[in-house]
Amino acid sequence: MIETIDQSLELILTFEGILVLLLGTTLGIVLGALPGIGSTVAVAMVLPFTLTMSQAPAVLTLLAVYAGSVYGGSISAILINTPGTPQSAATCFDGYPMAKRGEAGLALGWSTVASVIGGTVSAVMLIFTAPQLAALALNFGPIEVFALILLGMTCIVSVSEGTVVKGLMMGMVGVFLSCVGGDPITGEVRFTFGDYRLIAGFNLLAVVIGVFALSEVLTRAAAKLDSSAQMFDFKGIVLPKLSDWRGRLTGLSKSVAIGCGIGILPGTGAATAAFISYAEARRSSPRKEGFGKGEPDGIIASESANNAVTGGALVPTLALGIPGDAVTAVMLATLTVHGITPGIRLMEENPVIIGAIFLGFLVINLLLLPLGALVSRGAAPLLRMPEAFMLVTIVVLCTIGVYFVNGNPFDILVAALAGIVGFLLRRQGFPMAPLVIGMVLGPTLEISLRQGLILTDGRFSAFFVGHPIAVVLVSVAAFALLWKPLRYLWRQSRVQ
Amino acid sequence: MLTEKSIGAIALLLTPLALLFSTIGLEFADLGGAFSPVFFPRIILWLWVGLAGLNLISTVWSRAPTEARPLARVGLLALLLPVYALSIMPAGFFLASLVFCLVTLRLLGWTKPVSLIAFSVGLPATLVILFNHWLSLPLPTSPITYLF
Repeated sequence: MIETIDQSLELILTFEGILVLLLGTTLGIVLGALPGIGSTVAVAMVLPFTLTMSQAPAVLTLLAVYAGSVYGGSISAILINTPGTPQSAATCFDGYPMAKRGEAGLALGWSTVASVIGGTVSAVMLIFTAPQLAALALNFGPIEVFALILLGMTCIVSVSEGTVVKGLMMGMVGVFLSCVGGDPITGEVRFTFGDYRLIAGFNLLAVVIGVFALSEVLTRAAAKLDSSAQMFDFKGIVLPKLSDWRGRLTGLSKSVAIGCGIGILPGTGAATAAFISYAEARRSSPRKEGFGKGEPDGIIASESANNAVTGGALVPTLALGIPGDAVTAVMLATLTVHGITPGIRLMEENPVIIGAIFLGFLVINLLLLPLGALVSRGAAPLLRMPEAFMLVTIVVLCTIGVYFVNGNPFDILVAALAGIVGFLLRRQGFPMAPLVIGMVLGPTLEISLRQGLILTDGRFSAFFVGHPIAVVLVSVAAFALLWKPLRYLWRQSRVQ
Repeated sequence: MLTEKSIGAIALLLTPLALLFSTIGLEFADLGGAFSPVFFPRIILWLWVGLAGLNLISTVWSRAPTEARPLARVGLLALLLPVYALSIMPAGFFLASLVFCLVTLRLLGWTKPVSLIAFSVGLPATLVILFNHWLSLPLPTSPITYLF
């Protein structure tokens, strides 16, 4: 990748490259600030606008929207006590009390600097970690790939919100949905029930937009629309002085490390990282008594961790083709739309584009500082936008996005139905991320398992003889799946 | 007593069972082992059945009530989504979106007529201009577009 770094730089240092970084980050901050949209929906909404772009600017736009939206969530968390994205929920605890006492600008200043540091460190980590991991995975045969995907899936469901059973079931539903249509080995058509529109299978982005964006619209429509959020006076970001950082750098480093580490684990997500980091800061901060009353350490912990997750989540996504969370699952799907095949050979086959993604991601995180200061003031009045208008806009933009992926009107119907089913499942506590990730990983899981079995004459036990990496990966997968029930049983036995 | 949760849990169990049943007797199902196109889906469906069974047991066991929320408005909106999806091709993006915006905003409780109409016309019109003319990505048009 070092050899192609100049070509990667050429992709970014063009008028179009710089423009998409600026516009994408700005758009991401604005969309992230609007409560109810979230990073996944923001990326899905922007997707149709990238279809006329070439590969690198298109992917950079989506990355900029992703990183920008994670930061943007803190604007509404601080100004109206409603997190724009779930990742910023922990920021409300101390951000809003600061705004209430007239320090909204300073609270946003802390959040901006913490976000920039968290995101930038994670971008550097991504640059150094992903190529090593990808190089390791290059030696994998179908058996190791099967074990790797199995590990990715069990990690995802074992940490999904709700119960393990519900998470696993959604993972299975996702894998099954990926089976509909042509069989990848024999070409026979499965589970179409005579409907020719299903021969190509379900469009991943249509399902993603349905279960995330449209079901969110229905969920919010079912709740009482709230227009009573009070916004406190905000005249622009006030950056904290250097001296104010004294005694806070240890906490910041810890939060960034938590964010990067959790981000790499598939399925955990930025919200989990932000809450763990906040809890750790509350436990170890010398100013712990101020937490919940407007303590900047709380904002630093939450915002540096959730932005650090962005780079971490991209490590398994780009190196192994295993999405770190729902947003990166959408990113992987959009790579396909732009002619890039995700998987363990992604970095080997596309070194220039991946180099541009790495460098672009670093620049995007640095851009959050000036753009955050400029855009947050302009985005603040948008928070007063009536929710009904926002919900309708989400549906219409997502419909366009789904339509333009393949130009197929059937995909719009799939998205609408996925939205209704997603809404009903979410009402019963089923997490949607495992479904999407199951759908992304399903085809690779099927091909690697069947190829492995064909190679070993159908002997599943032969999978683990002479394949030590597969043994390790499957053992870790079993542990990831069983540690919650085992921990529960151990605690019960201790109580008794 | 059947609750929304238990009905959902039963539906989630019956769906994979029905799908498994549909694989019986398929002419290509007997290709043998991993060569069979339904080899992998059957594994996944059996796992789904097992998990759905566990979910049903835990649902019946817990008897936790579903959060009561008003469903009339969201039911109508849920009905509107597929109707909107199906109407885009025959009616065109602009007309379908205009009607969808008007009905949905009204359903969501927006009553101010000027902003209701302005937004319902303005949003699709802006998007048509943006995609059809600026990005050169044509949105579906209605059969009566030539009249304008």
